[in-house]
Amino acid sequence: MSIIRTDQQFPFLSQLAGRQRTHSRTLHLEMIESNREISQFLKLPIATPVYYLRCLCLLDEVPSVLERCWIVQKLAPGFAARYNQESSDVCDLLKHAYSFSFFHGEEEISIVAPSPEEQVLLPSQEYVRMQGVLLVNETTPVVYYDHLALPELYVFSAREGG
Amino acid sequence: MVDYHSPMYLQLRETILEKIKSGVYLPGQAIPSEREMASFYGVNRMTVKHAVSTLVEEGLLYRIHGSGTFVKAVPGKIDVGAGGFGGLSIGIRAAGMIPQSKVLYLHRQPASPEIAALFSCDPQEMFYHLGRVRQADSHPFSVQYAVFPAAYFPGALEIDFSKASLYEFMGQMGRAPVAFKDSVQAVAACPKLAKLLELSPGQIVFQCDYLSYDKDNCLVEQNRSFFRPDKVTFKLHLHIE
Repeated sequence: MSIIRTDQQFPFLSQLAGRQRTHSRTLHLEMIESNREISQFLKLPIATPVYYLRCLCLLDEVPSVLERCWIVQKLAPGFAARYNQESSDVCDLLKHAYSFSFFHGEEEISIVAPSPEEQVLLPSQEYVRMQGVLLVNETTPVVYYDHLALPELYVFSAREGG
Repeated sequence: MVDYHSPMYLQLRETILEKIKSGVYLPGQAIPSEREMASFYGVNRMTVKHAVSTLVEEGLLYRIHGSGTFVKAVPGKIDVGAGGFGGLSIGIRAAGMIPQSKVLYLHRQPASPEIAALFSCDPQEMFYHLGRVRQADSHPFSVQYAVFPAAYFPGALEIDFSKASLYEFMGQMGRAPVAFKDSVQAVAACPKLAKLLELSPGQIVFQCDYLSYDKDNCLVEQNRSFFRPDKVTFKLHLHIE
């Protein structure tokens, strides 16, 4: 069954799955220096410290989304320790541990082919790619994310104009 | 380049043009009246008239006496209908290409139970069904199926929708779509759809379902469109509290 994803929701499976059982397996969490691409998305000088988090998310025990995000360290200090000790939910930490509210952002949705490594983790011939930046205070990027989801997992929905 | 020192009518022309390009004003949609713009921007009404007239002469706007001024075309963009502002918008990788349409069918028939329920109308009401393949430089990028009420749009059967814009036609009838309820998902193309889009059967495509509403919040169109994934991306504009 597809999951509805609206423009008023965080782009993480744990927030979107509703009553369906989710479980995530952390593949990678460390502080790194931002490269050119990440720096451009987060509007940072190159080599700025960011947390890199990569998780394989399962829905009802089926690998469904490969979630990758980069979080500005200066805005979320101690994120790695809090993620390991307090909560393995990015949205939960952002909202409660760091008291961020009123996120804005723009997400690009496309269809892509997997790399061999990705296909081992998330078996599928094609993925829906969700790539975007979350901003706080309307102007400050705090998270850049680049997720790969099984193609028929999400239905993206919005109401415009009027 | 237009800046603060440029004549006021040119500054206003630039503002209107930017709204057309960015999709704030959709093809077929009426722009605010000259009186409204003069009041809002605090300029002389003749200044507004001059700005609008330049865009009419350039073929980007057209006037309907007694109804208003409407958007005719979007420079460099292919009009695929919904989106352009708000929650979900579409980007077509077709910049510089020549847009074309091929009509698969256009006919009029009574509402199905599903259509009657959706439009809250009597099952005897007549609806137009329009199927088109949208192309850029003769290569398909989208297949679109639109359903719209015959009562709102008399004479649609006489329109050549391989050349005319559906939304421009709707605007001429005073019911240009101005609000949309969209959803987008990835689906596997059935053999018939795959053939129309020049893809292999089973290949993943975007399916976009939307309902279009006019300025009076009347439902004027139900649309299901399919897009080649190599030709389009979608943007979701996030507002999360």
